[in-house]
Amino acid sequence: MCKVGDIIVVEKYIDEGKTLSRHSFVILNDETGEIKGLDYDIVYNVISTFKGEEHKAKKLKYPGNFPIEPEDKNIANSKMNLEGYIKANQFYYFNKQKTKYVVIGNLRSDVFNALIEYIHNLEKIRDVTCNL
Amino acid sequence: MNKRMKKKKLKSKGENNMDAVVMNNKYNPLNMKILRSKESTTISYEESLEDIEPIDWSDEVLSGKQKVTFKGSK
Repeated sequence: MCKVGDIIVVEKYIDEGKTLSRHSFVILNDETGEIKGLDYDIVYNVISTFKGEEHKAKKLKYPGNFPIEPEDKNIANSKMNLEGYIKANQFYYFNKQKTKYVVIGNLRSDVFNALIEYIHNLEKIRDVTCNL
Repeated sequence: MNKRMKKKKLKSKGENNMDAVVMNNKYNPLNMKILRSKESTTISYEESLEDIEPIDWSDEVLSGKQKVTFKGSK
């Protein structure tokens, strides 16, 4: 069972006939709700690493991209750069029962609360509801 | 101030400190009413992930043997 602040990895699944790769997300809200007539019970933002220094510089120009890094660096298969960011203006709506995921950890509460404060002040957002 | 009052005052201060610790660890969930009041556009899952580079987690992380904690970065 997951809760607010947790980081989860959603397993591969098929969207409109295409198999999409495994991605990591931070849970923002885990209460039931409805969007466009569809029920959801979890809302989250996606987490990304940087493809390189150029990508990092480009992404960090946007205040909505929250820079983060793991406390323990020894957590990935390769020696990839584990610095990354949370894409804070893009919201994924899922239904827990229809989603295969694993909880792998959490975001520190001080960073999480700063993220929420930023989101509450956004003017425009992007919704992803095709998983419902 | 007598001893009883001093003790009571110290206890209150300690309780306040504990409250502060609890407050600091509290996760304030996203307020969905605020979120739904914003101008929004709907995009596909694929489109939303086109510039996202996923992390290749180790087997220890994916199996739950090793927990990941993210902090802020500069």
